[in-house]
Amino acid sequence: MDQLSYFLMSLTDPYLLFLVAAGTFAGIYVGVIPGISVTMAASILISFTFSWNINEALALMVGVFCGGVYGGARTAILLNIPGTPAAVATALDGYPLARRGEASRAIGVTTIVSVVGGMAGLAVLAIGAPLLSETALLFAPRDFFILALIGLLLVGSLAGASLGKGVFAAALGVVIGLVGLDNFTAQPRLTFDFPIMLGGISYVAAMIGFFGLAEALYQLRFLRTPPMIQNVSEIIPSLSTVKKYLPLSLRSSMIGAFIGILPGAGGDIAALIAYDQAKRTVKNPSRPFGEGAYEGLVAPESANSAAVGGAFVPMLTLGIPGDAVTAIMIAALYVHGLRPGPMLMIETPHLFWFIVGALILSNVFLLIFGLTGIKLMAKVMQVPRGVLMPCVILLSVIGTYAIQSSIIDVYGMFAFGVLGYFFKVYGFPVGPIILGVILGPLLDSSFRRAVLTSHNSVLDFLGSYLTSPISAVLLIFFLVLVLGQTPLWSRLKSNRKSDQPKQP
Amino acid sequence: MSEERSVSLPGTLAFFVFLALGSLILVYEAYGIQGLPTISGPGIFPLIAAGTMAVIALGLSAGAILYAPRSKADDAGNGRAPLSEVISPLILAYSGFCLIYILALEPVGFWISSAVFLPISFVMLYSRNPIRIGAITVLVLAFVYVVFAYIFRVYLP
Repeated sequence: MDQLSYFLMSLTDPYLLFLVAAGTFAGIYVGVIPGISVTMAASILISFTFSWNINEALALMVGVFCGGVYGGARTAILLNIPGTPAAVATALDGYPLARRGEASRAIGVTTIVSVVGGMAGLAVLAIGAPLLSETALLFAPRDFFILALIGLLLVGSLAGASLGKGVFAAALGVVIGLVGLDNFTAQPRLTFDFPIMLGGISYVAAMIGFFGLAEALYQLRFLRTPPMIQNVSEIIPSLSTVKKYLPLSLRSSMIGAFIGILPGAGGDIAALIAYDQAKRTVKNPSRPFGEGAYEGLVAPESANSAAVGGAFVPMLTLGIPGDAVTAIMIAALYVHGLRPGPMLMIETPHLFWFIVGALILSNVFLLIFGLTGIKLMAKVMQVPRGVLMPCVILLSVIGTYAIQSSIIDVYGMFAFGVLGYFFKVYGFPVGPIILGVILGPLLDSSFRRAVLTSHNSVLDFLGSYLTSPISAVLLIFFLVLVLGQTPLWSRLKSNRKSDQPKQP
Repeated sequence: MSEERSVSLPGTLAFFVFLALGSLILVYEAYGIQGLPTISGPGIFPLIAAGTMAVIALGLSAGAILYAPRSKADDAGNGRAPLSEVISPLILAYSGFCLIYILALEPVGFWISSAVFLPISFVMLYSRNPIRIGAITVLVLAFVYVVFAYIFRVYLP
């Protein structure tokens, strides 16, 4: 009964209702502004919530997250610029549709299937998280070590063109995450004897620097680029259109939700796999894939929205992020004194049901805001960068200071921002940094705890993976994933394909 | 941005060397935690992470030296990108201005420093029309006051 009341809380409390709506609205519309990524918006917006009550903060964060994932699709369709990594596959057919003058219909269909996907993902979250949470209680530190390593494999997909630069960025994130007093020995680490560093580096200040200020400075390079205008009008799709694409949307949602559950695999991978699946299974697409097929829009959008619910499963039960935005969500939960992991569901089950309720509500608002406000969207897209970027910097300053009223954090944010600017210029991805910040301390503590229980012996530590079925399965899963990312695997796959007899 | 593209950017080698030096300083600091760390010691992961950074940054620096275009003709016609590709005078000046703004926040206070920062920013980046600039500045500051100071009760410097 208590759980039901928490589930309905965001619906029955007008202020929480407003915050979910405001977060969803903000998430959708910041995604539309060229130069403002959802990651940037999430890192800045979330920082304002740190002095709030946890329910209020979660209501806004959930809204921003849901709205942001959907908002990323709009720029993918209209400008061929995916607002989030999860919208990369959306651009493949979305932008050709916009070029054919069908942007309105494409946005309408995207909105509907995103809500379908979002609800399917939530069903998986509501059923899967309590089950996984019970299993996760059986996990030993060695298992968390493997899970953190699996999460770090995300570097491969976040790294872009240069894996080396991606690994450098992730290692820098680990270093940032480890600064301060060691949890085991209380020994200062990487503090350079500055007492102010003993408390560690503010994760959020680093995030706002790398994603907010750095991006704002980088966007100054495109100051003279004129705003792009697309003709968008009526976007509510017909019932027959919805009926036509609903089966594919549901299939893709299931793919997305289950991929979202995998630690380290977020909406981007879910969308790409669903797109590939649709390409292989849809017999008569509305147009060839890549040339404006609605199926190529429905599959990735359903999948990446469903992956949101799925991604909350490892995020809440294991503390493992699926992408840069979920990494920011985890950092935000830390600042609110919550420790995402198996104990979260045990100690604060009401928070879980509150999050599920807020996610459902956010999807409802997504439907409302997604199908309305087209004129506003057109105006927002045309805001000049010269006005926007000083405002982003102002918000970055306010957001950083809001965390713990420390001007040192603001100086740190500026330093990270300048470094982040040069990272972007010289082709270093900044996404892996935040991944390292979150996973570094988890890797460190779980590995050392596991080795200590193995009497400081590497052989005993490795052997311990054979003593438990959970550990053995996780290790095999990790090894398969590693193998899947090697050139050897790609070569084997291409050899297999070339060996298959060609159809006449 | 591809590897090849970044190599042809001016300052690439200097940036990679800067990263390598920074990483080596981090390795030294990580080594200082407990010398050669035991496998479960507090220094193990800082040393692994900083060491990874150093190895990659040194590798990138070596690559930049080996593949750097010696002359315009060597660069297969691509040429070296202009310095403005890395940092333009505007970005340099505006970053400096942002630094001054951030340093002024504590002694001068948020409202006064922001009331100066915003209009000068708009002049530098957008328009010189005083009415437009004044209107946007007032609008932005009013928004910040209502949303952050009044509704969200965010503590400002």
